[in-house]
Amino acid sequence: MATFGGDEVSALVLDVGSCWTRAGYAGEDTPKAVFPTSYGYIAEAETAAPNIDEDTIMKNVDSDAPKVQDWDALEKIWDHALDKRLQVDPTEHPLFVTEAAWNTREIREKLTEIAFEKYRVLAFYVAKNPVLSAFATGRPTAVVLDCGHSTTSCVPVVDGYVLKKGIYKQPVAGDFLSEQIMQQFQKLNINVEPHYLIAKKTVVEADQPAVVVYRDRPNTTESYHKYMQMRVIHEFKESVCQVFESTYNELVIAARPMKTFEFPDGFNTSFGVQRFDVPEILFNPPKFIMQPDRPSFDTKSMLGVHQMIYNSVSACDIDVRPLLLNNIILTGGTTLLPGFADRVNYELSMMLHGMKIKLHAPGNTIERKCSSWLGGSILASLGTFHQLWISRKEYEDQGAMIVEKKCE
Amino acid sequence: MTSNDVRDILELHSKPLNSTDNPTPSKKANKSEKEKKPDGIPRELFQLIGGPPPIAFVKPAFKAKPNLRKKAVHWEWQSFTNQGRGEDDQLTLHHWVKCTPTSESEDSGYWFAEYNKKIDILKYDDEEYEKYLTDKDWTKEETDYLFKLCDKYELRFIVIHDRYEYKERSMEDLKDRYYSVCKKLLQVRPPEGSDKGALIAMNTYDKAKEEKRKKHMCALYLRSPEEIKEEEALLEEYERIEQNEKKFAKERENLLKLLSFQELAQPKRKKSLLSGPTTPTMEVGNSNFHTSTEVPKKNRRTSASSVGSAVIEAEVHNAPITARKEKFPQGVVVRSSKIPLPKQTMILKVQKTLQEFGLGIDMINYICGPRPSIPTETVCARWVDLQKAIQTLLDVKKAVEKADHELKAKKALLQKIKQNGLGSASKSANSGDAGGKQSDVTASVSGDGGGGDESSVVPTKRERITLTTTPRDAKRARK
Ligand SMILES: Nc1ncnc2c1ncn2[C@@H]1O[C@H](COP(=O)(O)OP(=O)(O)OP(=O)(O)O)[C@@H](O)[C@H]1O
Ligand SMILES: [Mg+2]
Repeated sequence: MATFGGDEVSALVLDVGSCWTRAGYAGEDTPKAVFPTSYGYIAEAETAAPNIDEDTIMKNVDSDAPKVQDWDALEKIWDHALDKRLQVDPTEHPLFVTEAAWNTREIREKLTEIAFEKYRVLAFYVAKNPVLSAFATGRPTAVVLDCGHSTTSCVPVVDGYVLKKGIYKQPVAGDFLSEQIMQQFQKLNINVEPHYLIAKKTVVEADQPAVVVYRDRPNTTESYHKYMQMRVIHEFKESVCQVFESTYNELVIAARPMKTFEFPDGFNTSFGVQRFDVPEILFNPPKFIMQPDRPSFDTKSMLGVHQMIYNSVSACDIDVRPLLLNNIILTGGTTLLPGFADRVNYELSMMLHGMKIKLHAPGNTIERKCSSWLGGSILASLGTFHQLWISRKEYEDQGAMIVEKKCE
Repeated sequence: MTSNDVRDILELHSKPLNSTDNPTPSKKANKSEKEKKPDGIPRELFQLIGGPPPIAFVKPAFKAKPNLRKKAVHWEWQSFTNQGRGEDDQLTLHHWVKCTPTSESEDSGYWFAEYNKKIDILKYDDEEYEKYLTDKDWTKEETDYLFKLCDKYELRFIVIHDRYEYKERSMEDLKDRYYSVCKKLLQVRPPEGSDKGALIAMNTYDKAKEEKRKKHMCALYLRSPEEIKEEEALLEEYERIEQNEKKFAKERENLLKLLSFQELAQPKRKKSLLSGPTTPTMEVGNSNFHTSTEVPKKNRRTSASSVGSAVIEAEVHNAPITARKEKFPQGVVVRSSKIPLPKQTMILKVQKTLQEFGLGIDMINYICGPRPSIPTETVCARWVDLQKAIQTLLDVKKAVEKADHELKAKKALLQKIKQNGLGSASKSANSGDAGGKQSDVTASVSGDGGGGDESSVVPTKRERITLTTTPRDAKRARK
């Protein structure tokens, strides 16, 4: 056991992303529980509903957004993970949580407080996502492009430390793509009816109107309907959309095979150029974003992901740049779009002539989606890590501010 | 807990990891497990026929059964404290520990604590700071801050620079300050028991040089594709020129060697002409003299005297150098086999020339080239000389032809340039440049002759020389 430096103390690892929450035991290679970071509640009672269904109001917990912190919601997610899913008594375990690289001191302190005050954990640690993603691929130094659900971020990591000056992030990721697809559908007059509304559907020819019997759901809240709609769109995105491997060229793309998608109501049609258009937003936002309904969304200042990597690397000292470029890690669900890695490689080699560029994108889907959980799992099961935990005593002596001192 | 640990608890020795305590059966079990049994063949039969034939007879072994009677290895959920953490911190964690008698006896603390290494950053006090470390650019407060960060991030200056919030500073500023403080401290209070000079050298930092280096690196990083292309083209050109130069230098050297060899060889040949004909018998005696060590001393002396001092003297003074250096292998050899072969590429040409002289026709041997018909020592020596002379002749001839050819080409080029006159300035400048470069090159090719025109004359003279010598040699050889 000592030979590989592992020493498991049955620590719990919790990674709350904006789309999925992953929870499990340190030392394992996949999280025991993966569930959506959303919950429903019943309006009058303002309490979490036991089951998510049509009359619950859906609430998405965005743990990364620095301002809009909904701590109650986050606690509900933690509750669910520890109580319902892992079914453990947190007082018996050290708890390891992941956080965004740009989290403020206040957020970190609050996290620490919740862990010790509410859950009374044995010991606590909070580590940054990109550092953990880098560890998950076995690298202490890397530049990590995380294109997940709510945010795309590019963060340089040197010797396990985040370089703050090189952090680039923007709210263009999986969720935004789905919203754009929704708009595209509206333009195409495609009505997305979620599964819960469909009682019976019949097979129809391509492009023919759906023949469908609906369920009657009069009390459905709007947020639930939207949530279920987005599910369909995520599915569409994950199965149909694709990134073009080199510079966007409509003529070449038009020659590519179309892909057919069947909506829950049975309506089915094929998508050609459209399925390349939306992911193109990731590489050329100003040109491809259809005006979003979000206010205060400055399309002009958005960067392509390759540009983010370039800026991020360029913000670091010249001596580490070659090393960083040699260790570019792609992680997050949205990087799973087919052609994503090829395109990043292509764009970067067009920008950085004569530099050696090497991308690392784990082929394993789970590794790509859960890389920060995985890094946490590895770290928290190392024998040498156990001196880094914030212990209850330390917390009691020094208060929540200790997190700034101990968790780098 | 990994599956390995579970296996361990249940005493299932199917992983090679544990095979040390129970080596043979588990290994064999592993092996037989690997060979897949095709369907329809009974296991026992497959054991007999399956797989490659065993090197030694092995008793068929099946997968070891878990020993369920034996008590399982005891693992315990034990608490531990980590002395790598602070002294008064009593974080108690738990882990599974295999309870073997040894592990209980050793109580040396947490196994991983020793990896809690910290580097030592030099410290200074107020007095020292006032006395030695003041700097007009740095306050004590800022220096303290820098040292705190150095300690926290263990001298990872990239990280330190990233987290530095005191004031806008370049990384070079930080490094410069840190290392100059360290150097000063080492000078005023050298640590005992270590090499002060080396330590100071280690803490020397040349800020200007570093800044310059970084600037160059940045320039390199920001190259545009055109610049890179240009650079690549230049590099290629440079390599080409260098290679050409090397080629020419080599050719020239070869030529010089050839020519100087000719000059050296001439007088030698005259000398060897004077020496009397040596007979094969003497050769035998000679080889005897060298090889038979068991001949009594007295006997040897007499045999030497019997050949005659005159002969020995003649051999000493007049025998060609080649003969003297000749080494005789033990046993009988055919002398003609010792004639060196001409260069592989020249073999046919040399042969042809020899045939022109009417030599070696009767003895044509396609493997080792022509041979003299009566290979006495002298004849062989002459033959070797002749072969060398022919090769030289051929080499020179080739060189002349090449020089001639190049000369013609250059002349044509010159003509062309002259005709074009002052057509376009840049173009003529370019080609003029190239011409200049190339004329240099021609000079180096025909280096022995001096000018282009002369070069074609000189070798012909040499040709004549060689031609005049060769027939004489040929006569000798034929004899
Ligand atoms: N195969 C796929 N193709 C395209 N997109 C995918 C695929 N799989 C997942 N996604 C998208 O990736 C997003 C989820 O990614 P991920 O799980 O990394 O996000 P997260 O970690 O929860 O969020 P964040 O890191 O932004 O807080 C979703 O928007 C999902 O639609
Ligand atoms: Mg994530």
